[in-house]
Amino acid sequence: MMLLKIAWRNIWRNKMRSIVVLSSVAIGLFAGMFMIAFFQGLMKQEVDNAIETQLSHIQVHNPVFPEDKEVGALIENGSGLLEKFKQDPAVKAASGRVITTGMISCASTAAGVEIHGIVVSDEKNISSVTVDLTEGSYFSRGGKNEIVIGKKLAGKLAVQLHSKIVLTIQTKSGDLTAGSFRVAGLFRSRNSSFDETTVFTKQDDLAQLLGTGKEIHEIALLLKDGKQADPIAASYKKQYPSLLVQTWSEIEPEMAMLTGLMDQMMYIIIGIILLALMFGIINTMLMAVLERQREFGMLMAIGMNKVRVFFMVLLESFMLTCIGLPAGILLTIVFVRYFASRGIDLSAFSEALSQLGFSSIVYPELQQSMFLPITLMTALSAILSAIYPALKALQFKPAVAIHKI
Amino acid sequence: MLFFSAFTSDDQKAREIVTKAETNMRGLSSIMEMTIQIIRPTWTRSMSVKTWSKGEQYSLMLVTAPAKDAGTLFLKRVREIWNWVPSIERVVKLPPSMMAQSFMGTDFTNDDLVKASSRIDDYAHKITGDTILEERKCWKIEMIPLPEAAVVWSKVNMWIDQKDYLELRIEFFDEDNKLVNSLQCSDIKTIGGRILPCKMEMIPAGKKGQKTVITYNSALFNTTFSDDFFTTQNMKKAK
Amino acid sequence: MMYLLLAWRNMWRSRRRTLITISSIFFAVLFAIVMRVMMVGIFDKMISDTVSMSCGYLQIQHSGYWDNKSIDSTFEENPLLIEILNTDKRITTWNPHLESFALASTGERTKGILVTGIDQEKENRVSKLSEKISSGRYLDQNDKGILLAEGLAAYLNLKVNDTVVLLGQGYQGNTAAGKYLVKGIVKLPIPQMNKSMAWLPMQGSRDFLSTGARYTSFSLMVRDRMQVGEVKQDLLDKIAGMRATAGVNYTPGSSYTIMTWQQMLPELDQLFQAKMAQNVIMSGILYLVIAFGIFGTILMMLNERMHEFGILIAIGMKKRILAGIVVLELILMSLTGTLLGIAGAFPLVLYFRFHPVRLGGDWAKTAEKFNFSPVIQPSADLKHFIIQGYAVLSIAVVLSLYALVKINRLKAIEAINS
Repeated sequence: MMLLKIAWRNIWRNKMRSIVVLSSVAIGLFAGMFMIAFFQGLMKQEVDNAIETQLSHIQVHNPVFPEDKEVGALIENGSGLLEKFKQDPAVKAASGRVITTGMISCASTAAGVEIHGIVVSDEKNISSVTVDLTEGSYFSRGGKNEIVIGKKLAGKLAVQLHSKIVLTIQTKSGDLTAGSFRVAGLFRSRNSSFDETTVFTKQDDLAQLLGTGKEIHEIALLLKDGKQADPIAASYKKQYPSLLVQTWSEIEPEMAMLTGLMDQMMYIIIGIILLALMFGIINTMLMAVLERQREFGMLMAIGMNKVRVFFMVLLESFMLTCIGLPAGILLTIVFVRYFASRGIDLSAFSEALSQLGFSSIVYPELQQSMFLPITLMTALSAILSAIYPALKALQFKPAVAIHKI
Repeated sequence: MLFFSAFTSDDQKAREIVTKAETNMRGLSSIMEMTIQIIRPTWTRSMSVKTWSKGEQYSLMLVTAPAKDAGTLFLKRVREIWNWVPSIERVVKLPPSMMAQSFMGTDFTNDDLVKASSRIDDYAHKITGDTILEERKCWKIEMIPLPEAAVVWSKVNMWIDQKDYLELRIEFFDEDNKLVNSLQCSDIKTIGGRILPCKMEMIPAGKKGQKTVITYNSALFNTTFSDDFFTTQNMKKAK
Repeated sequence: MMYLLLAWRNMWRSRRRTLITISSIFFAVLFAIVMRVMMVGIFDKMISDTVSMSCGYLQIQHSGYWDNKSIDSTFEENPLLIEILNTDKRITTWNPHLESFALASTGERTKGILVTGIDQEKENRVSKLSEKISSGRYLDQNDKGILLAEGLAAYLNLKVNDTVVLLGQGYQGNTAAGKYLVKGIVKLPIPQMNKSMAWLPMQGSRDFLSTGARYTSFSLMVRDRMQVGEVKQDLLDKIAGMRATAGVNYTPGSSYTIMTWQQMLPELDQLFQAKMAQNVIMSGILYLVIAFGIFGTILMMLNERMHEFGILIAIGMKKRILAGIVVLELILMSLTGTLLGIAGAFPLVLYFRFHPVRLGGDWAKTAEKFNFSPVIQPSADLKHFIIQGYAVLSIAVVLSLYALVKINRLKAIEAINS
């Protein structure tokens, strides 16, 4: 008890020193948390982007479909199923699509493409392509046989807005058929191969050519809570055993792999930061202990035993840590909030990025669940850092210490 | 520009001329032997081919020379094409993705052979003048594809000879009104009892020194074939 | 000069103090270097893993090939060019390809694929194709067989020793057709590639396409990713020189283009640029923590010497000079710490280069399925050592200037009594 009082008073005797240690702890915590928030925001940006442009959270197909995208591989009772999903409370938006592969041709060139026949109102809720248009509009004119293609594809075919192109596809009955379409809009996503190979038409127009009626090949779902994709998909798999239900990470495992890499990297980086913090504190405290030689020497000379001196120093660190941590948390909250709304524009740090013309804005975000572990880790580092300096304090010989200048 | 309800008598005449020319060229059934020459700036290649056709829908093509390609067969049924290559002893159906590829390295595409669009039904026709081609007086007819037609061209000009209704020249334009391809026919003579231009040159615009030349060597018309002749089973027996 | 001596003597008067200060800089430099080198190592690996499996760092092609991948856009075998590539020490391997689109068919099913003629030894060095074989065996030089990607084989219902037919457009209008025995099946990590690729030995591809000794591309792997730009320029210059001295060996009609991986894989470049920008922020945060650590040490040191400073001022030393000497001390200590830090980081980084950090967990298993070895290997580029050292040194020097402030504000009496 006495020790506590002494430790407490010691802290406030030398304000400068205490503030320095305190702020080191606060900054260390802030650094760790902000780093995590940054990483989370980063991953979200990358994953969300892919989800919003092409993948969505969950996709449902006829099991035969993904292999060769056959026209006949339709979802049984697709439109009924789509309605059911729209009613599902876990689902934010659902969109049904008719998909086939074919040739797009203009007077001078032709290219192989994947054609998505979509319902405009549903697709707008699910895909960001609908707003990523560089020119034209996403079927807002309501004309027949309009097509929206990627800007890159338009360049390859040497066509522009309002140009006419011909789509050649194979119908449900196996015949080859063709239809002419007018370019109504050009889109641009981050994935240039997506831009080059995917084109969008209205579902009715495509279905008419294909002879698929009201049936669909794909149902894409956007969930209210994207992190629940795996368990929700699992429950759908059980509910609809005859259909192929996949999460975005199953469809594009490369993406999941990259985010996994980020996760791992994050832990390593945090580790390095905490190590840097520890050494920073150790050095600061060592210096402080050195500075307090006379004081320790005096204490030991008047009879305080070494064990108590040791614990006194540790207690001081502990208390400083206890004050520093909440300060750090406050700092984190303030900064994360600030940047979460404004976003950190990465292109300010990279000339190449800004030239690409994409907004590379990261919105840091911090989950509640992260607060506790990081705080504990920081606290632990701070206290561990205090052990060595505390031990050092015991090494001073009282007689020598008193005479130190 | 919809011409459906506003046919002038001139336009009607244009349409009739084209109809007559098209049905004339297609004939009913025929067996023909021709030479296909691919000309490029740095090389030239020649092939000899024998074709059996029934109307517009069915045809069988056999490559007879050079020796390396001899025995290769193409079968067309309506909109589908099959290919038999002797060295691999396999019949392969051409998938939609191959349709825009060039046919045997020529300036024609596989799609051209299959020709899904009809020059009669998919266009609005208009006579725009008279010219002399191959010492014959011809109509120059401008053809604009109808809005719904699955045609990549924005305009096609056709010159049709006024005496025998021969298509002597066709020019294909893109949406910027640039010439993309021209088909020029010449060497008009009697062959197999009909008057036809026996030399056709497909010349892609803007590519110097590049064209494909088809020369008809002999022809037999109005032979009778059963539809069974044009099947994958039968095709290997062709000689 | 005398000030320098004074500063130096001061430093060693209290060894402990000096050592503590130096060590704070030492560790700061160490951590800054380690973090940067790890990050760069990860980026390097990301890029090298991707390019070695696809297009290489640089690719020599016939001009016009990239936009219009026609078999007529090939270039001839040119011993002069090959010699240029062989003698450039910056290039570790050059990998020739003769590839084309073709139809693969088994009678019931037909699929459009990419068939690549490879020099099986060179290819293996770059993409380790033989290690990805899941059944059957790798190709020999004079093999008459073919390798199929797993997804493709599955679609066509083919196993090892089955026959597959290839049909395509050959050189100069020739028909490309051939029957091949499936010698091996390869498993590729990326599903798209796994469904549509096949490999023939170079001679096999030449026979199929009737090209003779021609190529669609040479993929080049370089020792140092940062040299890609200069290697490209050098090669272009040498090729132009080759044409200028057109002798018996030079084949006219071949005009070359060289593309960089950034041009061929713009997505990867974009990803990489984004990661670099992120790196700036992360380094920034680390520097913040480091700066606080160093500042704390300096502050404490100044505090501890207050008494000494007070006396010096009282006996007449000018504040300016005292401050100057103290700052000099700090700079000397920072310099020492930095140099030691750089030297110390070296063995550490080297250790990790030979024993890369193994990542674990579920992710590692997934990564391995991708043939992406889940290790982090730091870069050993000295440039990073020096830059980081410099950065920390600059931070330390700026922080040292605080001594000027503190000493200026010093009131002698108070100082003596502290």
